[in-house]
Amino acid sequence: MRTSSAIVVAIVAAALGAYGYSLLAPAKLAHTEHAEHAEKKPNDHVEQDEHGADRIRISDVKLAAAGVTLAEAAGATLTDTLAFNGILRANQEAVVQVTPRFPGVVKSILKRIGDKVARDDLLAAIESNQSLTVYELKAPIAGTVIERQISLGEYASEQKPAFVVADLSTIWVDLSIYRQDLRRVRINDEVLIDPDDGRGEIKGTISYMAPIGSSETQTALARVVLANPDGRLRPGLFVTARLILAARNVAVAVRRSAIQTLENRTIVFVREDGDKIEARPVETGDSDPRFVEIKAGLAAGEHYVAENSFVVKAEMGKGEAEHD
Amino acid sequence: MIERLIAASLHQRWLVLLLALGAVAFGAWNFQRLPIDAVPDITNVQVQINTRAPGYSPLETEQRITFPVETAMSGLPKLDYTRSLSRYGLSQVTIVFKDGTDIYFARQLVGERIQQVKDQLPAGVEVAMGPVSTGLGEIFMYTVEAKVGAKTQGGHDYSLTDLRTVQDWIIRPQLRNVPGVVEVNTIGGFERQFHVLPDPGKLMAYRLGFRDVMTALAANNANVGAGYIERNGEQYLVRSPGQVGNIAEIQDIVIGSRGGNPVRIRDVATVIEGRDLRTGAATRDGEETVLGTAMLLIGENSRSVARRVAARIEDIAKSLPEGVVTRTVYDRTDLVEATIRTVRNNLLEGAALVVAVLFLILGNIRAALVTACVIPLSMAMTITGMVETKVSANLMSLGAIDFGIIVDGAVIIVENCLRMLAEAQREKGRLLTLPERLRAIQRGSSEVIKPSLFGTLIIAVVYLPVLTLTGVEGKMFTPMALTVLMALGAAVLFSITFVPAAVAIFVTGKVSEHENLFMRVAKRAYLPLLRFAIDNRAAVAIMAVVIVVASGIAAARMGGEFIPSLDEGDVALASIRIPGTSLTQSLDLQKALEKRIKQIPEVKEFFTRIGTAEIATDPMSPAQTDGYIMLKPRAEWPDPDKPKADVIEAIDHAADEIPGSAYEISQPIQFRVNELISGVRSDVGIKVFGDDLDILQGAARQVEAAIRGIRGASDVKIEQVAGLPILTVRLDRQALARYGLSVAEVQGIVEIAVGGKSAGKLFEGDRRFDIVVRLPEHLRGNLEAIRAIPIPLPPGEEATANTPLRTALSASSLTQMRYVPLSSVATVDATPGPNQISRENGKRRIVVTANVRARDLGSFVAEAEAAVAEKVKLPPGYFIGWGGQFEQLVSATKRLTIVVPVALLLVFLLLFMGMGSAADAALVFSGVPLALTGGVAALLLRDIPLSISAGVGFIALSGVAVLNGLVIIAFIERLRSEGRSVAEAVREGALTRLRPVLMTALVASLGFVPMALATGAGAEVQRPLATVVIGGIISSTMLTLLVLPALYVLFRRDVAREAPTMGPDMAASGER
Repeated sequence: MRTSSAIVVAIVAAALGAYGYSLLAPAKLAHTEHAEHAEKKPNDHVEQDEHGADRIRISDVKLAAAGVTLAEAAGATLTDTLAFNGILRANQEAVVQVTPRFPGVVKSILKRIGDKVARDDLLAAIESNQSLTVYELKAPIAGTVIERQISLGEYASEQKPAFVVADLSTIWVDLSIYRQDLRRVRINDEVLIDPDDGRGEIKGTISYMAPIGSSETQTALARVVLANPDGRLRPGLFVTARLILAARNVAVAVRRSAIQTLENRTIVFVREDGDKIEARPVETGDSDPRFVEIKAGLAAGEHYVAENSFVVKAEMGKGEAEHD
Repeated sequence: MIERLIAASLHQRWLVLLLALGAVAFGAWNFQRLPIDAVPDITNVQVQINTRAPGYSPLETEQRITFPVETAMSGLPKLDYTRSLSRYGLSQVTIVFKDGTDIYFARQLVGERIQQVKDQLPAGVEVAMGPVSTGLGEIFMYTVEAKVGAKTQGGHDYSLTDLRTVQDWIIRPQLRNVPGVVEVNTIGGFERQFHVLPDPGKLMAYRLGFRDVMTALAANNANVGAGYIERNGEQYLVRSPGQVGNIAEIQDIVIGSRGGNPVRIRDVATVIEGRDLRTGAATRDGEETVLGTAMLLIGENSRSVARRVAARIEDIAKSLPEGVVTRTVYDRTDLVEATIRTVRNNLLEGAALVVAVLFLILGNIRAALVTACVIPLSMAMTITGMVETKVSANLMSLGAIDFGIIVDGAVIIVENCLRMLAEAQREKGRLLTLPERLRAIQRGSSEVIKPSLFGTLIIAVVYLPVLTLTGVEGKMFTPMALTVLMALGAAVLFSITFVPAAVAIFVTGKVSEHENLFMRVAKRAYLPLLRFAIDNRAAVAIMAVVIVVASGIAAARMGGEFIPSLDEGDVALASIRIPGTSLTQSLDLQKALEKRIKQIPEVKEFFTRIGTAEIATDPMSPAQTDGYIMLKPRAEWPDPDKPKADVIEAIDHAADEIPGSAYEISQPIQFRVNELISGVRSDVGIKVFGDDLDILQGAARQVEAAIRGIRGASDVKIEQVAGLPILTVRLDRQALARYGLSVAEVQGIVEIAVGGKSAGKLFEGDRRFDIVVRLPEHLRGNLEAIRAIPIPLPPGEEATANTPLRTALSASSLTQMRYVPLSSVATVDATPGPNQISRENGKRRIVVTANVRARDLGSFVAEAEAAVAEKVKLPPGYFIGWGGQFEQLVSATKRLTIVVPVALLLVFLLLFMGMGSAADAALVFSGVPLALTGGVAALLLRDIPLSISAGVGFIALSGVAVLNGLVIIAFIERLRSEGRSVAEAVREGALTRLRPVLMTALVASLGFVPMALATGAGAEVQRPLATVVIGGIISSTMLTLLVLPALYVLFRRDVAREAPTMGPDMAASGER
């Protein structure tokens, strides 16, 4: 009786033990993780090649979902512009000061500021103090009276110009060019001048570059001569100008939005075979508002991430990102 | 004393009844005041100091704001620790006080210190304390939207700026007045601003600077009150208004005059209505929106406040402009009501089951109802007690109330009274007179009152360890223990007053005492089993030991979690992008994500906060978002039975399709609470403290390498502190000297040019909007433009003498072009800089976090500590600290390992006192491990991991198990003291006591059945506890009925011994 009951007990114990173990095994697997930090994706989707360039696997579908587009690297024509500030000035070669030859009393004045004059038009009559005869001041050129320094009865001195007559049919635009831009500006470059009067830009070309600079502002002067048939340009007003740099053809260029920096290197994301994208370090050259020249690192014909390239950068770095 | 109390209650039975009614009424009234929430609030006592420092980079924020603020806070009384975060434009210092500190006291202290430190802070920064709220504070969220095709008064479509203005100036001021709402936070849209955009060229032409514009704006925009005059007995107030009211008036402000002509703002600048440089945005279902959040004042009732907010929102709708609507996207009421419904159903169903069992076994419906009356009575008292002790009603605090356990004492008394009444009736052969009834009840009650109290005391004692928990686990479980203790106390009080009185009043008819069918069947089944157990007692004992050992091993190897998390019904999806992600980019990605997630059929709505809200309770960078995915009610799902986990998986997959972000899935409340409690949310956080960010980073990398290799380490990560692209404008002092410029002048221009600078406010009634001076977009928008920002030069000597006319003539016309581009006095470089700087207790720190999988935390931490000590070399002044969730787990475990044995010892002592024999006490005590086996088995069967919740279940279980054993052993002892042999006493004792044991067991376990099976909101939090208790009680009942007698026979010999001191009393309850 006793032995048999001991056997029964042993069998029951063994069965229980086995049952217990069978319960334990799944329990171990069913180890629950803290719901609070649901498992984050480890950063294993980024791999590195022998050059240390980062690669990432990402499908076209996924890229499209985030608005990322690809483009083919190709040659491009770079047309960049430089912006300058300038001032309108009367054409100094067509500004004439009319100065009385002899000091005397102004007897009559015939022209006022703003009057258009033809050559040899009478400007004023002055009675000379020396000869007490009246002589005439005549316009030396055709133009506009832009200054009058005398009034009726005044004693006009030969020291001081009585009138300034300027031919405003042509106007100087003096542009100040900062040092760093000087090398990119040449005579005969095309310039678009905007007088900011809402009537659009005026095309001109640079006709003169000053051989000396201004010590105060560290700029040098470039001059554009513009025709001013309708008097739209008024000397003394500031204008802005855009210089169109000579167009340049480059062998490989990418869109501006493709350029990213990764770990202090300038890179372009390049599509490799399959669903891989490589963060390719590149050397950039000139650029314009749309394209950037790639001097090294990318060959024409390769596909690169053109728009929304930041998303790819973010995807690469997301394993390290965290929330706090 | 107790007997006198019973006598008095019987004498004044109607008064007692009235008092009980009064208690119910009082409880009902208190119920209105009882704070109700879904989960207990586990936020620590903390005060946030948020300082806005527009334009400051993380380094400047830390140096100029965080450090002085933090230093000022050191040495506050009851301070636990401080931590801080310095980000772009924002410093947040969090001061954590010791638990139990009054929040208003703490804020008072912090407020004083802020006053002291204000002088040291740079001008123009705003220091503010965070709202008096907690992690559960975000109770109501709504978006402000325009109906399709709605037009503003001006006739254009509603812009985000318009909607934001509606939120800021119509909705928010009204909502803030709702009682219980401490703050209304806004994110999204654009704040309306007026932008003055000076044209540098024109400024030059007039020889004016930015400063002149600022000064002019400041000097021409104020109202002045000039006292009063008296005139013919009347008093006239004098005022001189000068504020600008619209764009035209701003344009007309005069800056100066040139040649007698006034120069107005309009001559040198354009004035437009613009948008602020915002730090955050909000989206809903793929579109930008304006999101408002009502925050709950600490200690308020979230449900009633959320309701009030909803009602006020409805009111406000009437005053909104035509076409603008608010849309409630999150309402805590839903969750709270769902959980309360679950709890209520559980309690009601439990109570119904208890009544049914009582009726089944007692066979007297009136007696059963009287007993059941103890349930609402003690609940009413408990509610009053909860209000007094400021315990809120929630899943946890109400989660351990088992009506079966509560009515135990009353059951015993009613039973005995019934027996006495029946006996007396049989003796007299007629219905009893009132005095006879009273006598019988008096005798019946006092006879069993001691064992009844004793049993309650044991159950109460086992809850004591729970009261010693501190920290997060304390906040979760202490209210639970308190509630149970209060309920037990109330039940005891009522069972010695109300129960006898009610029995006296209501149980008047014939009381029969015959065994009903249920008991007869039970006895017939029990007898052979008992005989078999006693015959094979050695085998039974061995088997019991084997089972205990097996379940011990099983328990040790079971998966563990800290606290089961409440299923809030909604999903929080946080997206995390790399530092430096711009707000616009983040918005684009988020919109794409929301559109994708919205395609999941179960998703009702998806709204997101990106970056930091107006009140920086949660300072996030634009790269971080908090998303809330609201699920449809289950009935609307394509497959209503689909598990939520599957939906979450679907969300996870869908999110993965949108590249560029890492995601974290959690739940709204959980997420918020975690953010508030501590900076470190992983199992283990290794904090490297020091000064130099680069060295810290290096050290953190060493730590990371050291622990990465340790078994069990997963998700090892370094806190992202770097990687924010920073455009540094580095001034060339030599160049500045040549041009005669000062550093501050250029910095000022850069500040105005890029960021803009506020130059006063424009008032529209109550509404006020900033007037900001900033460069036009095309001059500040990109790197090239910034390099070309024109820096005006100080006027040269002859420049002032010139008239504009001279300019046209002068040979050196270029002397008038007196400005240089920024690039000629500074280099502008983009370099990565610190993204954020975290500090703790006044030191910079970087945290390396790790989670531990498939390994226990304790040994992992030990190994990690050794590895770090060995492999990480730190320069002087740098040190390492350890933290993380493991601290809580370890501290809770440690405390419980001390306190649980102490409590068990107390129980043992109580038993010893009651039975007068260590051996008997030990025998009774053996019920505890046996009971635990059932709990473990039940958990395993239902695939529920071990948690502190389940642990509390085990604690409750021990009490019930001991009570079971006590009932049997005491009776056997009594029989033996009457001279029976061991075997005989055991057989008869076990058989007689079968009924009360079954009854207590059935009542206690059935009371928890609804809780264990419920599927409603919040059921998962209560499930472990209920499961453990049910499983344990089943096993403990079976084992007490079979194993205990066997053990008794095995270990006790027939020796004549004295009756135990308390034995007869104990046993009396069993005489039927």
